[in-house]
Amino acid sequence: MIRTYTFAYLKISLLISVVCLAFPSAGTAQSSTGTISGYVLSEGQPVYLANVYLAENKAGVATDSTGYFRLNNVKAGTYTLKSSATGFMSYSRKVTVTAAGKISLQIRLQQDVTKLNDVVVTGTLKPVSRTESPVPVEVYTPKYFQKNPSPSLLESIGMVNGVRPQLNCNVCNTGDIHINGMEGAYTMILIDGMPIVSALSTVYGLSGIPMSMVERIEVVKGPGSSLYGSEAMGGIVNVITRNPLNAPLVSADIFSSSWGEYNIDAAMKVNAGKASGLFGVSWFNYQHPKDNNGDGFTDLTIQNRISVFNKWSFRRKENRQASIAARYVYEDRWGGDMRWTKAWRGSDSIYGESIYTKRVELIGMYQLPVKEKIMLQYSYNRHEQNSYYGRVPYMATQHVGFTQLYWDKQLGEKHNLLTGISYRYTWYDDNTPATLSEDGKLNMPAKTPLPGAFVQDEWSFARKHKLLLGYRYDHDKNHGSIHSPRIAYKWTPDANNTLRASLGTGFRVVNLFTEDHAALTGSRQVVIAEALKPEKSYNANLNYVLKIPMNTAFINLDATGFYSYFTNKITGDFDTDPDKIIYDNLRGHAVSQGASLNVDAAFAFPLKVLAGITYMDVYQIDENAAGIPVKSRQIDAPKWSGTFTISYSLPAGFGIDLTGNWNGPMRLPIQPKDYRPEYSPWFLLANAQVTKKFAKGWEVYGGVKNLLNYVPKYALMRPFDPFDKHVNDPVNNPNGYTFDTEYNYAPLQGIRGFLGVRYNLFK
Amino acid sequence: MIRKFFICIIYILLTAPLLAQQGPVTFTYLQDSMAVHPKPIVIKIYTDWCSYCKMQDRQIERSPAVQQLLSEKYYYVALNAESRQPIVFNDTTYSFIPYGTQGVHALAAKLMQHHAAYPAWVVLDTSYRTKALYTGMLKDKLLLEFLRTIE
Repeated sequence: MIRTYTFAYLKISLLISVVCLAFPSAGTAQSSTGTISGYVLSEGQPVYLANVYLAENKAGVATDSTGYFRLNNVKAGTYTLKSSATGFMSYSRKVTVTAAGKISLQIRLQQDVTKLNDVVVTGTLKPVSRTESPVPVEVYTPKYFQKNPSPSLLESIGMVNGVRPQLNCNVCNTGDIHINGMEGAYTMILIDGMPIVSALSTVYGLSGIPMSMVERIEVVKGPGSSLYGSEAMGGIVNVITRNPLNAPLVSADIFSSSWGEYNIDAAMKVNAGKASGLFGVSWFNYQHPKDNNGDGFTDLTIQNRISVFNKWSFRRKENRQASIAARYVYEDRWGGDMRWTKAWRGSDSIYGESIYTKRVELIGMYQLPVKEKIMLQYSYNRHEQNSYYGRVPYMATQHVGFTQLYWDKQLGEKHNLLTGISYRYTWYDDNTPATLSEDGKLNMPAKTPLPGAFVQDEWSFARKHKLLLGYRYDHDKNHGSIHSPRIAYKWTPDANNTLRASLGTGFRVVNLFTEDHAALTGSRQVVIAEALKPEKSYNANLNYVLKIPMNTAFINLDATGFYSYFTNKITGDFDTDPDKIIYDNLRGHAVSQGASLNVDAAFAFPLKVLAGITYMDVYQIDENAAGIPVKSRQIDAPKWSGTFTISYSLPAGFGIDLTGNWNGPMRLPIQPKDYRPEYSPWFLLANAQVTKKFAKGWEVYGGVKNLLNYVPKYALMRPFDPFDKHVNDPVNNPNGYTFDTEYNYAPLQGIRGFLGVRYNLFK
Repeated sequence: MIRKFFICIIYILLTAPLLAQQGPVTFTYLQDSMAVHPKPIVIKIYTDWCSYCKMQDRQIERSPAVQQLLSEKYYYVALNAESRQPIVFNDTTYSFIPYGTQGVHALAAKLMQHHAAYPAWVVLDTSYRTKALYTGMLKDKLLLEFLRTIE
């Protein structure tokens, strides 16, 4: 719209010049008028199509491509001369025009980086893209997630088609990220390519990643163990942290919602010689218990979370890279009975789930000062959880150390070789029998060393063909040697067509107590049927990208078909006994198969549409007691789901975003003879937002979340008896129901408004 | 003298097919041609992923007037802002500045004054001085206007 705006001005300017030509004597005859002319420049360069006008009488012209403008027939007097152009801060000054006077002046406009990024008809950093790699990697920038602002990665990631943040507990709101219907434990979360959010920390660690530290997010749907090792079975979410070198000097983002949620993100850059440091702080606070569904329990978990982030980047010779970052997260959250206070923590009278989390991370990268490109990456994190689920305590500590050395080598024109070694060490201890010796007398923290080596070659064997071959070897003390091969192929017949085919494998060394939060809640007892074997996955993936350029529109279609086969998938059985979660090796297999389509359309007028739809069929085949294979659908995996983002820009820096995601029926964990339906209904969570950009890097945004006010009809089972004290009551509880928090398919938060402000100051 | 004559011959041989083709010329060609026959330069900066750049190309394709202007009055060059190849421009070599898996070409960064937005139109005079810079897609008529006012 900005463009039409400037175009309108251009028309006005042409009209004015036509008028001037038609009445050439008008100016000279009336000697009571003067002229203002001059150049509009920025950093010494001319600015084309800048608007120059007088605020008093709205008379205006647009500059030509040399930056020149001329205002004729200006009546004598004092005026406010204003100038504006897309990508520049507006300019204003006083001018006094005398009769027959000629004023000549220069206008210097300051560039406005934040505004430039939103010039309607330019593409800046693409909010959504795919990497050049034969392996299908989707790239998302914070700009995409700002279309529906959320305080944490866990909420934001739901805007990605095929990715679903699943709340596993209605009380404590722990969540994990499901990719193509697979459970969260199969999704590997990386920070700067390193396994920093794993095992224990996935339970509450995901909500502790503020969007303010994110430069971009890379999503791989399907396994990627050939590069990343254990846990990369179902999909990968790689969070790339901001680089201080190109971060704004000062940035801030503050918003609050009508539910009383407050979120503050602030960052500041410091330059010290060859080093650039980024200091960031993120604070999320929600302290107003609400019970709109009237079950006596909090609808949204009370949270107070602070995260402090500091990253340093160093300028080195020959663009060599070096950075080091540290982060600290503290969180206090509780959910449960509305009457709960800290005094009831761990008691069996008023139910509450209270969790304190402390977390320290250190992330570093160093390129060796040699001719070859050899990178050393290292990370360490300590995660401490102090929690009570009702009266059940869960105290756990985890240390993860990781280091990796890799060599990135271009061999001739055709081969790009990546080879390296890695070592990961996990130390885990909790207060459960899982970390006790067999006789139960000694505490034995679980120690998992995992050395590995990998090699990958990206081979451009013909002009339009690229092949990626990868192999990784890991050694685990329980499982022995683990091999993870990968082959991927990319064919680009022309600029508008790309075909990718990929075969990959994944594996996971199991530590079940930390990976499924369901195992932690006090309402179920965990039963391990027998010794668990490692899990493996095999995936085939076919992706086709079609670009359709048109005169005034551009459409990008991205279609993917996927098939993943999981052998020895370890599953939690929620159905056999409502008091237990039974873990067992799967005699049989699990399958996740389906297809997705993403459409990205841009037009010559300021409308952008991004929409995605996923169909998936996720099931497992397991032997029943009689040894007969039985097929069952995966819990929390809807067959149909989709997302959409519609953005429209208006003049004067206004923008509108409409976002949403919808889900078809998904199977839910129910109890025998449950009155709650086994399948969820279709539902849509839609959000609308209006943003307004101001000069000097300010931006205000506000809108409505969950516009249609969709809240699930059923949630908790027997919230009035959370300690199961009155279960054996054939009169009042004939079906023998027990307290259960896992029936969840949509957040319990209904419609709410939000308002926020952003500020970015560059140099 | 003879050398200059030969360069002229080569120049004519080089330009003849290109005039017919009316597409952008290469940087190597630009470097050689500016030495013998200076003309103002128009640079279109684009990226592979930029959808508005593709729309911009369509706008050029459908306007013979724009094509004619670009090929007759200017040396028209297209610069991929994410090209990994070093480019010799006005006797200076510019190369790719990597940043993680992405990055920007030094020449694009210089011409666009470090603000990445695509497509970008840069007009330089025969002494390589920037005469105009516009970031954003220009529809054919507006592009024609833009190029004409520079002349």
